[in-house]
Amino acid sequence: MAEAFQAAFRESIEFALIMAVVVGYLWARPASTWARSGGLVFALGALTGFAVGFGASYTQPVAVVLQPGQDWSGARYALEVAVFYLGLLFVMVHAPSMRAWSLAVLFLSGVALTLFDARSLGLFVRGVGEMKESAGGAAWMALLGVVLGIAPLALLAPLIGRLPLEKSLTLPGVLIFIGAFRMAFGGVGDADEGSVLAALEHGIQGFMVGAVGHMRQLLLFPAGEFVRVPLEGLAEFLSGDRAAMTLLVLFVVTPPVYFLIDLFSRPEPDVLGIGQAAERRLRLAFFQREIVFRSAPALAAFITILVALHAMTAVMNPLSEPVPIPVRESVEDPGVIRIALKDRIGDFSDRKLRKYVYYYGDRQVIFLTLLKPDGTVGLALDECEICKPADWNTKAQGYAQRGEDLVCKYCMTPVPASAVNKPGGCNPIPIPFRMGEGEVVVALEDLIRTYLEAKKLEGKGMHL
Amino acid sequence: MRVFMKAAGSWWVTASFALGAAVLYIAYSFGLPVEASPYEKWSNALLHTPWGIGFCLAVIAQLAILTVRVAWERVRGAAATPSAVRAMDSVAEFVPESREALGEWLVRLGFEPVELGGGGEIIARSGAHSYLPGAVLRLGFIVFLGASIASAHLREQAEVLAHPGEAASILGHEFGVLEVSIGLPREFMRVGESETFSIERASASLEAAGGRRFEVSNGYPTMVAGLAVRVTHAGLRQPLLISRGPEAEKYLPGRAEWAEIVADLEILPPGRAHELDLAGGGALSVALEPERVIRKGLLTGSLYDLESPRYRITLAGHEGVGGGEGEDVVIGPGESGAVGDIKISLGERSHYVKLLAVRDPALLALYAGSVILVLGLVLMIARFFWYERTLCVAFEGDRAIVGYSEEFYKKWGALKFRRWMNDAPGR
Repeated sequence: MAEAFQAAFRESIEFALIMAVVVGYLWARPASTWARSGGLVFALGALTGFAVGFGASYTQPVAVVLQPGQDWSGARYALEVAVFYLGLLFVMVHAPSMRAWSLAVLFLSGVALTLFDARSLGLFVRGVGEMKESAGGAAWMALLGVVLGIAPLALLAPLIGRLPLEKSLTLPGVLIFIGAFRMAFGGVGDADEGSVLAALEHGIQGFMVGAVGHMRQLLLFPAGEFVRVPLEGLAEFLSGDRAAMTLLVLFVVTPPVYFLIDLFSRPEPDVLGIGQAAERRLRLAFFQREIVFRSAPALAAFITILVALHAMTAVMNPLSEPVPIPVRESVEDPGVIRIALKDRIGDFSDRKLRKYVYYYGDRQVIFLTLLKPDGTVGLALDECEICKPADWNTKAQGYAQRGEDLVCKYCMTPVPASAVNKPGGCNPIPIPFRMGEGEVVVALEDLIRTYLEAKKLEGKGMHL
Repeated sequence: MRVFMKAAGSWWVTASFALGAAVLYIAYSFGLPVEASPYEKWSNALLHTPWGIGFCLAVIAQLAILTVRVAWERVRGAAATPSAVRAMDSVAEFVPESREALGEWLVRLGFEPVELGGGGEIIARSGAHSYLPGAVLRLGFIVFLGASIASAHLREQAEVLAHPGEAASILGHEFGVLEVSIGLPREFMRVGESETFSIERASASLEAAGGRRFEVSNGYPTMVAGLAVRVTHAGLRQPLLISRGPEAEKYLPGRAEWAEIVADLEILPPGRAHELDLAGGGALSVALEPERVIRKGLLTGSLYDLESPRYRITLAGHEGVGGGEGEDVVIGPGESGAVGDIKISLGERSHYVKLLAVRDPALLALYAGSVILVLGLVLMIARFFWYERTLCVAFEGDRAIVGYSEEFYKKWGALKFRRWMNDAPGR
C-alpha cells in the first residue's frame, strides 16, 4: 500500500505548488469579484479533473477508455507545451486584462491540470490494489497521500500571503512557470508517462528527418546508398540528434528568455525632470526592484527547464560504472596478473569499461581496462593524475563510462577512450602491460609501482 | 482595401497559419506508434488534398500581402503630425532656438533630416530598407512553397540503369550511353561490420537525338532534353559465361546448359553478396574477395583491391548432379573456374550507373526558392544591427515635439534619446 500513498503524496505536492502559484496570482490581483473567485473556480476545476480522472479509473466502462496509451501522453504533452507557449503569447501581446469569461478558462485549466495525472494515478492505485488484493485499502492510502500532500499548502498559506506576489506574479510569468514545472515534473513517475522533453526531441527529430528527406527528394538529392550527394553533410547534420537537441533547447528556453529580455529591455523611467537626486535614485531603484520581482517566475522556469534538460540528457546518456572484479596473482606464472579478453564475465569487444581490484595488503589497487577504438587494449589505474576528491567524497574518485568514452567522476571531464594509456591531463594513470594469447598480462611489480607513485604524487600535492 | 491589407497582412495572421500547421502536425501524430513520424501524412495532406492546397495558397497570399504591406509602410515613411509624434517610443517637447539650429542638431546626431510640408515638420530616418532581409526570406518561402505544390502534381520521375555502349530510354526520350565511369577507390579497408565506403564521383556520358552530348554525374542535376538527370547509384557490371560440366551431360542427358549473363552486381560496399539465379535451378552467390585480412588486437580488417577485383563465387541451392553446394571459387575478370559441375568464365569488368530523371516544370522554381530562402536566412543576420530608426519633429506654434522610435532595442533607444535631449538647442 505504501506505493499508492507515495505516488499520491508526490503528485499532490506538485499539484499544491502549482495551486499556490495560481491562487497566489489571482489573490494578488486588485480586489474584484471575478479575480477573487477565480482562485476558487480554478480549485473547483482541479478537483473536478481529479475526481473525473481518479474516480473514473475505478468505473469499469470508463476505465477502458482511460487505459494507458500513447495518445493520452501526447495530449498531456500538448497541453503542457500549450500552457508554456501561451505565456510567451501573453508576453508578446502584453497580457490582456482578464474578464468574466476567464472564469470558464480557469475552470477548464484546473480540470486539464489534474485530469491526466489523476487518470494515471487512479490506474496506478487501482493496479496496486489489485496486486495486494485490497482495492479499497489502496484507494484510502492514496487519498491520505493526497490530503497530506496538499496540507502543507494550507499550513503555509499565511506565509505565502506575505510574499510580494502582486509584484512577482504576472499572467505570462505564471503560465511560463507552470508550463516549465509541468514539463519537468509532470506525469506520474510509476505509471506509463514519459518525459515531455524526450518526446519533444523525438518529435523534432522526426520532423527534421521528414523535412530534410522531402527537400532532398524535391531538389533531386535523395540520400544515396554510397554514392556521394551534394550537401550530404548538411542534410545529415540537420536530421541528426544534435540538431534536434539544439532545436529542442531553443524551443524550450524561448518563452522564459523572451520574457526576461522583454522585461529587462524596458526603458528606465525618465527622471531627468526630477530635481532631487534622492528622489531620482528612489524612482530608479523602485523600477529595478520591480523588474527583479517580475523576473522571478521566468527565472525559476528557466532554471527548471535547464535542470530538466540536463536530467533528460543524463537519462539518455547514462554514466555506467562497473563493480571492480577482484583479481589475483597467476598461480602458474607468479608475479603477473592475467586478464582474459573473453571469459564468462564478458567479451572486451563490447567496448565496455571494466574495473579490477587487486588487494595489496590492506589497500585496494583499482585499475581499469577497455578496448580502444583502434582495436588495442587500454589499461590504467582508476585514478586521475589531477583530480583528488576529498576524503568524504571518495565515491567521486576514478572514472565511469558514457557511450564509448570515459568521464572523470570528480570533474566530469570526458576522456576519449583512445586517450587511455596516454599520460597527462585528466587521463587515467597508465600502467605498463603486454598482450598475451587472448589475454592482458600485467606485471604485479608494474602495477604496485604505478600505484605507489600515484600515491606519492598525491602526497606531494599534485592532486587538487 | 487598406483595411483588408492591414488585417490580412498582419503578423498575427502569419502566426496563426504557422500555429495551424503545427497543430495539424501534432494532430497527425495522434494514433501513431512512438517510432513513426507524422511528417509524410502531414506533407501529403498539405500538398495533395484540396483543403491542404487551399491552406498553402492562403499562406502564400498572406505572406505576399504582408511583404507588400511592410514594404509600403516603410517606403511611405512615418507621419509627422503632433499626435503621431507623441505616439512614438520617446517624446520631448521644447521651444527650439530656431528651426535651423534644430536641423543642424539633427545632422550632428547623424540623421539626414528631411523637411516635409508647410509646417516645417522634420522626418529623419535610418535603416528604412531594413525590411529587405525579411522580404527576401518570405519571397524565398513563397516561391519554394508554390513550386512544391506544382511539383507535387506535375512531376514525372523515373530511374533507369545506364550501361556503356547501350541505349537508355528515359521518360520517353532515347539516349545513347557513351561512357560510364565511377571513381572507385583503388582499395578499401573494411573494419569489423562498419561501412564507410563511399564513391565520390560517378558519371555517365549521354548522347541525345541530334548528337548532343551531356555529362551526367552524382553532383548537381544536368538538364538533358527537358529532363533533370543525375546519378544516384553505381556498381560493377560483370559478364559471366556459365556452363554445366560433363558430369551433368553424362548422368542427365540433355541437361547440359550454358548461359551468358551480363550481371549488374550489387556487391558494393565490399562484403555484400549478390545472388544470381541459374536457369537450371540454384543460384550463384558473388561477393568481392578481400586481398588481405589484417588483424590488430581484437579487430579484423579486410583489404579489398577494387582496381583489379576478384570475386568469391559460391554455389547455393544447386539441384544438379555432381553436388557442389557450398563450394566456392575465387576468380577475377578474364579468368575461369568451377564450382561443383558448373564452369564459370568471367569477361572484362565494366561499370553501370543508376540515373534518376525528372520532368518537372517547377524544378527551377524549387531551386530558385531554395537559394532565395537561404539568402534570406543569411541576410536576416544583418537585422541584429540593421533596423529602422525614426526621429520626427512636429511643431505646435513655436513649440517642437520631438519623437524617436527604434524598431528594436527600445530601452537603449530611449536612453539614447534622453542623452540627445541634453544637447537639444533650446531645451
